[in-house]
Amino acid sequence: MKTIYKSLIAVGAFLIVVGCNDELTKDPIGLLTLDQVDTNPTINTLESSVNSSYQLLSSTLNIVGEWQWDDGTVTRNDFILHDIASGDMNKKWNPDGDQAWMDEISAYSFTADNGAFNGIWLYDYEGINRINLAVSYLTNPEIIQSVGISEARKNQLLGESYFLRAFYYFDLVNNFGGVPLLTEPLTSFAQAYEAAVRVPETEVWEQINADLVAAKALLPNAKYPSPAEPWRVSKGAVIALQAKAALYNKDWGSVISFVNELEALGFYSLNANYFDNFDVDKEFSDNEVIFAYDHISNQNPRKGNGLNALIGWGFVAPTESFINEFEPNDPRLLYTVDVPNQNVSKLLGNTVGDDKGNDDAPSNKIFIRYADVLLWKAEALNETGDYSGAIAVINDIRNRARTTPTADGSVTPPGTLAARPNSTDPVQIKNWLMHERRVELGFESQRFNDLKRWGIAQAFLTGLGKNFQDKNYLYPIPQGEVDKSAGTITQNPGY
Amino acid sequence: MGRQNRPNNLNEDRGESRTITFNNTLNYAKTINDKHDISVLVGTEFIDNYDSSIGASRMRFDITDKTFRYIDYGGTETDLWNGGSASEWALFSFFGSGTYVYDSKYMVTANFRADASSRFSENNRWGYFPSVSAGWKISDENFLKDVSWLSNLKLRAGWGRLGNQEIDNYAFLTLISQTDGKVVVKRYGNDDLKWETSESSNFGIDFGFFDNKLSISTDYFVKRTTDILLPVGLPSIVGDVSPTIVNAGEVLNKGFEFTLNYRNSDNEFKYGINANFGTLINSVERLQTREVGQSLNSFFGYKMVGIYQNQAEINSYLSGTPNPTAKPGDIKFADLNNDGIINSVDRTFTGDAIPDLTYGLSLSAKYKRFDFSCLFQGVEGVDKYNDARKIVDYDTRPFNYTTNILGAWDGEGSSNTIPRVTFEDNGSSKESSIYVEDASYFRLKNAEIGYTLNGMMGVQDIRLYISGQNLFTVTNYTGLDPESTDTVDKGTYPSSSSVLFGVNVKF
Repeated sequence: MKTIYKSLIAVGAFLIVVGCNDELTKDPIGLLTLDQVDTNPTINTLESSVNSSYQLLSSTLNIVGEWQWDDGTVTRNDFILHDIASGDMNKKWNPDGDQAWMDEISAYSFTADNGAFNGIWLYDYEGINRINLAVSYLTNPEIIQSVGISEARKNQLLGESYFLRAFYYFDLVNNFGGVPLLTEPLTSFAQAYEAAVRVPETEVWEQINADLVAAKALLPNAKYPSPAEPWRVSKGAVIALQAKAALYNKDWGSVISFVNELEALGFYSLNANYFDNFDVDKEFSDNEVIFAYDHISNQNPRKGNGLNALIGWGFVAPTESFINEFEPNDPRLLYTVDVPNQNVSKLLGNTVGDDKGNDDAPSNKIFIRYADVLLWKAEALNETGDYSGAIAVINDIRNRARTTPTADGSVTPPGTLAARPNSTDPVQIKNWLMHERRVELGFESQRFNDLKRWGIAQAFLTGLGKNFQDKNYLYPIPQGEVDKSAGTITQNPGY
Repeated sequence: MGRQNRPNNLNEDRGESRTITFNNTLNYAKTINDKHDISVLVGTEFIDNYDSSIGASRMRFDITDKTFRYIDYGGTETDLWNGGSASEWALFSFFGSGTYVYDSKYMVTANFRADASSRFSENNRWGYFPSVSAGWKISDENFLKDVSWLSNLKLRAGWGRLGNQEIDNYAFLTLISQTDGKVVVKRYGNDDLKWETSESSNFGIDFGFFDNKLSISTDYFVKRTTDILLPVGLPSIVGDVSPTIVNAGEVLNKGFEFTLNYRNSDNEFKYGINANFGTLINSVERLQTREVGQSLNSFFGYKMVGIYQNQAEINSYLSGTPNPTAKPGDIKFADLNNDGIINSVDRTFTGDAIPDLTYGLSLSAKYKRFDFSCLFQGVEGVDKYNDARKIVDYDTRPFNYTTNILGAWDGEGSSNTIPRVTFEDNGSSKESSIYVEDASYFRLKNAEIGYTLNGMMGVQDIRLYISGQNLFTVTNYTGLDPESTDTVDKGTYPSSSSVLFGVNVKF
């Protein structure tokens, strides 16, 4: 008898162990593991993975983080790091102590722990990581086969992804110089530390250019690759970014050839009305916008423009220096800022102050438009000695501005924005170009990079009474990144 | 910045938790020759838990009558949120324990347990935790039997390992969230994640005098915790992900504990005293791959050395900074490397959130119909980060401040401790020692006086009493409550002082 009991106990214990071992494997509820995605993807997984990579370009509030203003994560920081930093924009119409960290950017008294750097860094890298995940799906033949996505759609999504990755790295390399380069999703947390090393700037640029070449080959020859989804990245956007990358590297010949390539597509021209670029009612039906983020109100989850809420609270105001840059009666001024009514019309998407204070507004964020592109070409032409070509482009821009119907219905007096005369003085032409870019593209987050690449940031900003130092040609790496990587991500000099 | 107020609100949350525990034990106990006591226990235990919950919400109501306070009756606005989630875990253990006692004088106990947790990957699921302890009751030895004033003397020693798996479920997995039209990595996993283990040794002596009227107990312990389970925030280059749980470090705790008890019920005036104190030295030996040598939860930041009194002081102090932007009245931070620049390398450890000493004293007394008791407690050598002051004393926004700033700097020589009041940043946005305060305190936690009346008319006892909680506190801490457990004090609701009058009636 005793032996029987003993064996029963032994068998029982064995069964418990075996049974329990299975019970100890619990699949996560409501979340996917990497294995599950690899074995069980859907078309929706692929589409969403790409679509959600756009989100970090938006001005929607709290895409990441939770209402931590001084972490810089409530909304995308371009207006602080580029427009306020460039001396075009003031934090508020009436200065106060609200969000003092923004004032530090304006005054160049910031340190590496200013939230603005943390914010843009996190937005750009979150975008990159979403793309890396998307690319890993879209380049996995087994997944592609199992979900049954068409070759054309797959190529389109992949092309968009490569463009977006280039776009985020473009922002990073201009803000921070060489940065850690991640092009694949991690498979374990430890890889985060292996990747936490800054690569030389040239390597980032190589990645940007390689991604753009790949994107161009994959995207169809159409202004809107999917007419029902005009917000998607198009071939035109890719070529434009190639031109911009060449411009920032002073590769003038390539700037000209890329812009020529873009012109040859025949998709874009200057709008007759300057404001059509920004008008909520003209979104994706105008001729000029090449790449924009499509904000839409009343979506769940939210997809609206949250910068309008800040504008409603008195944020985003012009500096005197910016207003003084406009020539008399330039219609672009009132379209950019309506000073008496404190409306930043260009960003609100209308000229009557609608949606001011709306944290879920419909106005798009314009990243690349044709006038900007043409001025790159003008700059390259001037640098390569084609002075008349450069002046012709500048005059096209001025002519459009002059003939634009004004915001208040007034008649633009004759002699306004007179055409620039012939000149063979590259310095004079460059001055005209610099002026034209400032007024044409005001508040579009182009100015600060322009000042830096023209090498005049220190002279210009010091003239405005700002404490701009040599080191400020690059922003500091967010202090948290240096700390979390235990210093393998090194700080920029001087910070 | 602000956001509009959203009035009205309703939440209704329901949750369900199911835990199945399946226990099997075998016991064996035997006494041999009245001298040898042996007992053995072996067993298995399986615990399986499943939690689920749903939550509902609604913001605006057209009608706020009681009969309308349900999710569906809000009115025309469409505010409505709801949510639901679930989680599971399981734990399986083998355990065994053996005790041997000889003549009630010598005792040895050995334990062993093996636990497997669903919170670790299959390769690291099991943890093994042995322990042994021994005791020697010296007072029962013949040579002490006749010492009448010594009622108890016992030596104790022990060594053991304990496991900890108190982390989120699924923490070892890389998780991807596919909701809200997003496909994003939510948290990177850690396949090597394993049990945290604490190995501790302790030695103790118990004394009892005069029939245990006076008892004293002292212990010394050394506890080394390895593979500490900590959430580690990855660099943001991997995006906006939750921290990964990592076996991140090694912490050493050493301490001394002392308890004294005295009770005297011999006379009409009966009283008792209980006093205890404990010291603790805590040191993080290693964190990730770094040597540390500081306490867990130490504060790290800039060290305030005063207030800039004038521009000349700024210019000479910040000699390495071109065109410094600090203004007279701003906080002056220590320039640890003396390069005339205040930047991240000037940060250092500014405080320690683990008390050096905790103590308590309770007294009780009874005289005829009166009774009295009270409890004092306190801690020494502990710092808190009074983060609430960032808003209530130093915010750049036009908020109301506390009266602390009445002594703020307002001209050369006016203050070397409180920075100027300004809409600009006066240095207070930096994490610095200006927020680190000594949070040592001594507090009367509880005091009570009672009086018992004679029973009458079927009532056995009537006791009238008055008791008070947190009647007084001695501290230099300026936050709301030095006793709050938050090491970073963002102004949590403090423990309240209260006075109670009461009647106890026994039938």
